[in-house]
Amino acid sequence: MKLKVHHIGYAVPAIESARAEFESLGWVACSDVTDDVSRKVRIQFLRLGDEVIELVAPLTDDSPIKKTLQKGSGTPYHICYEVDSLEAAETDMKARRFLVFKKPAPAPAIDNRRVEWFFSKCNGIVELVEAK
Amino acid sequence: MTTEKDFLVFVAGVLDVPAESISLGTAYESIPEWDSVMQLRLTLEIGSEYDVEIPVDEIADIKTLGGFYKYLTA
Repeated sequence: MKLKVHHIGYAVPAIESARAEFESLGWVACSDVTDDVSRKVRIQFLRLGDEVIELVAPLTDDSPIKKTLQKGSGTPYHICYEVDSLEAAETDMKARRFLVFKKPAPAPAIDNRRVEWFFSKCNGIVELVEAK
Repeated sequence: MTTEKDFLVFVAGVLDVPAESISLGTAYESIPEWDSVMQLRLTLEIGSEYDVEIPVDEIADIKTLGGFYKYLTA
């Protein structure tokens, strides 16, 4: 299985205030803000050199990302890898004892490319996005 | 067959709480140790320990430790 780091996901209280803080460190927005209604989150990608982070903020009061915010503060909480095929990668991830906890589904913030979510004790939350 | 007591001892080890402090009725988020990430870890560790596969679509619906235990007795 060939993995390429796509981004690090950051849970943040709000996109605008988080973006301002990251911009002060040199990060630059590289996408529009997307409201992912099905996942109940707002998303924006920022870039610094070759590195990309994904700001993920609550869209609704019952947004699941609220539970990830640490006492209301931002925190990195997942790593996303790009893979050629989700089906092949899922087989490999399961063989490595990763738990699938969200089936493949389109991600509006990533050009509707399919993503799948995994968990392991040491890696924590891992997202895979299928290559274009 | 795994007894309720043995199951709770195992789960207590995952949660890092005393076994006598939990029961099959212990509910999600009723103790600080059982948050959304621990929900995933419990699913992973219980599945591995007892060789059961909890369907992806049912993970979020498990609201008590008894909800996990039922997969061992199904």
